[in-house]
Amino acid sequence: MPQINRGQLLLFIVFLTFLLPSAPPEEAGYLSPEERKQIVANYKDTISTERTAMLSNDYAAGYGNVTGYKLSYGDVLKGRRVEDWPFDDHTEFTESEKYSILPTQVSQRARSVWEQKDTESGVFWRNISGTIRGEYTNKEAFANIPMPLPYFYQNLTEYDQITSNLTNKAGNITDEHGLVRMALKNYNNTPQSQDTSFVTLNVRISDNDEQHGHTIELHGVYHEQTGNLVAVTTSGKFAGIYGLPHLNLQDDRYFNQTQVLLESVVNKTSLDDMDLTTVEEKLGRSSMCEFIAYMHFSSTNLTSSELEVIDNELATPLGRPHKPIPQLVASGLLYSPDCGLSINIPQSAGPRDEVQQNRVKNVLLLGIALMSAQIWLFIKQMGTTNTPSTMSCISFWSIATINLIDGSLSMISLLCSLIFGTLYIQFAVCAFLAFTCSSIFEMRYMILIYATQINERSISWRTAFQGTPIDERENTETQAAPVTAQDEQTISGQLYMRFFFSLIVFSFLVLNVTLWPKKNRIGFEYCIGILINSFWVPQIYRNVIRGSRKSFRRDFIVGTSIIRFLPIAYLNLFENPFYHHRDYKLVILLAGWLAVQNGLLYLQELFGPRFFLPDKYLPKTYDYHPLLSFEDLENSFNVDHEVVDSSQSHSKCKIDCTICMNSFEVPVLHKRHDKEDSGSVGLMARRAYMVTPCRHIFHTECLENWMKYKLQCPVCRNSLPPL
Amino acid sequence: MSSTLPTGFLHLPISSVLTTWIIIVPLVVSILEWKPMFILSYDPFVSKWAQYWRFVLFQLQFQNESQVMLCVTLIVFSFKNLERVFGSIKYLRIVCLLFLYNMVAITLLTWSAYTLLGINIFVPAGPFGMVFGLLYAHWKYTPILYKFELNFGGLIKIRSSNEDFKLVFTNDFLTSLLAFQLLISEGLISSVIVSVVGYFIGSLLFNGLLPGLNARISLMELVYNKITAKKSRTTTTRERTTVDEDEQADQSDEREDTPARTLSAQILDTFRR
Repeated sequence: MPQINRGQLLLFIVFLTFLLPSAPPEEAGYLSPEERKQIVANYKDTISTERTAMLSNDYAAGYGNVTGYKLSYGDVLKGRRVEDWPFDDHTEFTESEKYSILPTQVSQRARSVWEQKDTESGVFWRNISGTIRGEYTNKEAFANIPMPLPYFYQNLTEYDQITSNLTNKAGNITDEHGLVRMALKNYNNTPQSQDTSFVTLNVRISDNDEQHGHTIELHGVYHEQTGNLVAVTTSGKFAGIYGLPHLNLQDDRYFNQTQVLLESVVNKTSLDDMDLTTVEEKLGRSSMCEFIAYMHFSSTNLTSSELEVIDNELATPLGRPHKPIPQLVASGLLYSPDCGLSINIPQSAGPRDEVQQNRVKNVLLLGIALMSAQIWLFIKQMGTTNTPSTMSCISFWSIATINLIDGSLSMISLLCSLIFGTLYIQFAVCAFLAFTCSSIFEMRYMILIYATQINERSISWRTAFQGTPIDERENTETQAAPVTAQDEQTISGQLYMRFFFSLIVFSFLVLNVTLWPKKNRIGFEYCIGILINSFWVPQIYRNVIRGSRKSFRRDFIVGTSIIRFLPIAYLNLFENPFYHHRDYKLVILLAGWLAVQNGLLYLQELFGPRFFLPDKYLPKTYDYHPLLSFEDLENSFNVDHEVVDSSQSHSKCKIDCTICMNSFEVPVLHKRHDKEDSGSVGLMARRAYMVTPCRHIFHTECLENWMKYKLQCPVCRNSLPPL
Repeated sequence: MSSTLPTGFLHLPISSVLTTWIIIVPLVVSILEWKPMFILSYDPFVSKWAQYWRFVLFQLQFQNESQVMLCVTLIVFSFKNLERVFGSIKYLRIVCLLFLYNMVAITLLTWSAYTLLGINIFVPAGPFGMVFGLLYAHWKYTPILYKFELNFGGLIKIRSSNEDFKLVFTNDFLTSLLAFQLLISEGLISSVIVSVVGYFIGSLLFNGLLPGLNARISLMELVYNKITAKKSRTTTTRERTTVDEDEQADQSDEREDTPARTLSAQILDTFRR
């Protein structure tokens, strides 16, 4: 039996007494269990009345006792009130503003939408699952039909907030023009409902600059033989779906089919399953404007069997030969009874969901290919620069910028693989490759570079440039505190932490930007585009500072630039499945910027790293091949030298190379001032030996081989300026 | 001839290519979502849609991972011997011939079954026929190393005689078990038909009834020689440039070592001693 510590037990009891809530005080506004039960019971009553009204009423009987449908548009014009319902003069229901909530003008326009002639003569779509995009115009205004919330909502906390906010409702569209995007989802029809199927619509309406947007969710029915759709929103103040059969504009088979279909749809949710959360959700939706949508989907240019093949192929791909898949094309109107809006959608079009997914898939596959190419380039690059000397030429920040992009790509595609289940494999592969590239290759490379360059940080800039002799340095400045030895593990720990932190911040920023209004987004694109495509700038800077010509492989530089530029060019120049706008300027700007960086790197390799800077701004790089004089040798060089041959201007001395232990000949001037006319000593003779800043002399070949591994003097461990 | 093969695919280029193919191709195909292209049945693919290319494609990859695993295990544990028995070029020729003969046989079979008998045979994706053709060769050319018996004498007596009830296994029973699993992996009909056809073709080929076993296909040999020559050239140059004497000594040491015993070898060794 476990021992229970008395102290712990006491703490636990205290904890419980404070944490477990007692019943909230009455005045806090919480509902008592009885009130809750009462509200849910009332709600269920209303729903059940509305269901019976919808299912049992024939067309002539009208909407019946359904929330939100009680006042017709004519009643509103007459100034009637909901409380006085039912009205005696409502006899036989026909589609006119006397009986219907649609103004005559709207119902006429809806009819014309439904009855319009199509240019193509083929059959209508059976399945309209897809996303269509288009523009809207919002010109006319109608009288608002008041839609008060039923009394039982009053005790809920949100009630006051919702009823008081009348002007600034979500869905109250004020812009005259704008963009509309409809995501449609088509469900299978039941045998009884024949050619009528259930549809959900997610409508996103925004102005042209995407400054303010509204999202509306509608449910409705689609009639496959005419290509017509009617849908409504549903909330606490407007039980839209229960009036849907009567919104079919006339008493025909579609009224009956809608009734039959809705019976099976609404019966899926049993009354017993409803609780207070359902009620609260309905109340929450009541803050928005209600909408009724009439849409017509243009007929395809296909015959019935051709369309069936396409539908089957999209549902279960087998490689059936089929005609090209046409786009969904629709037009229609949105009418808001309680906000008095009538929004016209002249034409909008878009692909079926499966087609869209296929397009995204193809783009992803190209992305995967690019990612693999990048990994291959990195492997080659890392193979070439595997010594400390070659690695010290490479800028840490160039790799870090590239790494940040790859890392966030891997994060974003990992997230997408969770969201878009149908493209899981492709996104997962993309995430995997990006992760391999960033976290294994690039990160490893960064750690190596950091480890190589860490010593350099303790050296002053002057030393890095000139390789000041060690004794001089001691004179001028106090020795910097020795850097504590850092092994690769500590470095990698630090770097990984920084990397993942910046990665997460950057990824969230990018994800957030996709929700920004268009103008801000474009501004961000320009900033971040230039920033992330400046990855060669640190390298150019480093080349200048270190005075080194060669850094990365040339194919790596060009390849990486192209790999990173291609996706941006694609998104901005071509029609793409992400609906990114075209922006030639950005592409030209970035292409130019990358070309300039590439060109500079190339020129640095050709003409030397500092060719574009005037000499006077720069301290000279250390000269490893100075002319020596006897004064030098005697003063500060602690070497044994043996004069072997003497000419007029200079003599030749034999000096031992401490690396290979062989002796070699060094030309030595008799006087220091002879240095000015160095022409007397051959250039090639000077190239044969190297003198370190700490005044040790070696064979050029010996020291260069050594410097591939370590930039330290083999004799005294003084740091050496790189070649 | 030692009974254990050297570890890995040393000097067995075709086996290594086959193994890589069997693993990589399904991965690539599933990333590209081309899986539906590899299934075959006469109706509707050929009779209605005239997709004759399916006859070429269907043997190129196994669709599901368990089949991939079974096939890789068979290649690595059993069919690797065949490459040693025949030599790489002949082994490659055998694989190509099995591919062609199976393609022709399945074409004829599905066509005749559909037009004459009205039966639509579903052909699962994967080189079932080739695997079972190679299995025939494996049973024919690989000698049995040892047998062992399970004696159920204490439990069951055969009534007629007085002998004990025994089950006799050879060292090959693992191969048979895997092959059986592959045989029924697509149900009792579809994969069995293809596999039996492949086994039959194997028996015809290796008994000289189908031509081509000893024919020289010059194009194939040319390609093979080119590729292997290139490979050996790159390896030798690399050795010349980088490997110094010490490393060479290390390598030769390694080569002389007894191969590392794999898990299966360890299990089988317990039977041997």
